[in-house]
Amino acid sequence: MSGRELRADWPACQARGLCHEVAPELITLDPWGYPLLPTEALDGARLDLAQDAVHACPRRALRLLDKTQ
Amino acid sequence: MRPIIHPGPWLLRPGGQVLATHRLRFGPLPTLSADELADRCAASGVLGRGGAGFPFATKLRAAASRRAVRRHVVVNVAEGEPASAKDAALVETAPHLVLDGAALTAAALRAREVALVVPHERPWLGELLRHALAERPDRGLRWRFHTAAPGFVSGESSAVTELVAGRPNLPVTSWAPTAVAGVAGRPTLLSNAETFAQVATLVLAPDRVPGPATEPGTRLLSVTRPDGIHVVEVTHGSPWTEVLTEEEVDRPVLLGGFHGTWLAPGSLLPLTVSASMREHGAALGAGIVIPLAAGTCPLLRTAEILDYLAAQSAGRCGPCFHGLPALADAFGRAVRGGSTAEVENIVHLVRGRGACSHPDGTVRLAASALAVFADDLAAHRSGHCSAVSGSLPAGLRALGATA
Repeated sequence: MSGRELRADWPACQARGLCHEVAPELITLDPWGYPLLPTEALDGARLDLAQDAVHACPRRALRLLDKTQ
Repeated sequence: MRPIIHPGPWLLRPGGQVLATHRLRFGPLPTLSADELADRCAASGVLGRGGAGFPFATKLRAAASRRAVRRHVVVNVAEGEPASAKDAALVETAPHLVLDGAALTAAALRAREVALVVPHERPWLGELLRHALAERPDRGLRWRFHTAAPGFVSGESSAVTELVAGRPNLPVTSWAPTAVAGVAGRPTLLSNAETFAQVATLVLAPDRVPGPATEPGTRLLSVTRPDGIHVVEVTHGSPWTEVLTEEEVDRPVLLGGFHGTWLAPGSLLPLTVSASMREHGAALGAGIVIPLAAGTCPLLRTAEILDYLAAQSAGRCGPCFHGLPALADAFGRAVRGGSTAEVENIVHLVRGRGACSHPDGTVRLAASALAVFADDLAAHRSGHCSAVSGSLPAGLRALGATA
């Protein structure tokens, strides 16, 4: 199975929330303002949204990695 | 406080502190290539003793396989868990086994320096290691000491590689396994002190390793008792009745330390000390065994541990430094007769969200307490505690009144 996975660099994340702002269908926020990321592999439109979220983060705290399973 | 060390059949045999005695027992240290060393470790299936139980051979092959100008070997003696003392016991009893294992690994990886990470809480261990090193003729090998910061998370793998690289001793996000990219992004073989000792015995005396052929070797266990931490060594396959008293086995036991799971009374009776315990939902981890003290409420004890773990967050990852105190608070309310729904909610929110396994381990403890002590929770909701006789402990005085 291919596709890419959205992962956070948690020490870098400061709960600015821009990932949720640009991709609310993909990323919601926990009660403390930190992103709840999708765990499944992303492709197509969802992958595009994920790319937007990665670029929107002022802390560069999001990465898209190849999902190896 | 120093651990109470019981003489053991293999690693904890007395007299190993002196190099001459050690060499008489085990012979000279050979030099093996990475392949040779990995093959020997794979044949006996030696697993890491730091908690994750990862096959040493796999780690070694990964660290050896990438082209690198420099590779690192790191011996983790940091032992950040308060209830763990096995690495301290090993350094006191058999430092040369630890150092032999590290020297073998360094030679196999062509690393010229070994990092020794010692705990803040037990400063005498650094001195014992320096004393042992002064006796050794390891040529072409430098030994460098690093002292871990006080606290629970300092011994975590990424925190240790950060420390060795000269940065603050705190966990960071690992994008690749340590063996592939560890200290300063270089291939790093980081293992627990006991792992290195077990590897050394495999190479030095393969025919004398005790234990069953299917699982050769021994385990060092730290058992918490009222008078302190007892460190015992048993061969794989030993029944738990050789480790714990009849009374201890009949009480709830927290296996795996503060990130472990609770076992109901008597659960250990049909089991033996073995990596295969994982299949029964009771993983050995780093061999930390905490029988519940007599007359103690298991829920109160868990609540205390959760409070401690929340305070030990590195403070770097939002879901951890917000989530763990919230979890501890919600658990405290559930212990005093409230609902467990909030605890379950936070468990789902926090799990898997953090740079290291501190949040995961903490929610594992909370979830196992809710599962194993469901009856106790029900009793608390009815206003009484079945674990204690006589008057209720201070933490439960408000039983029946939800916060």
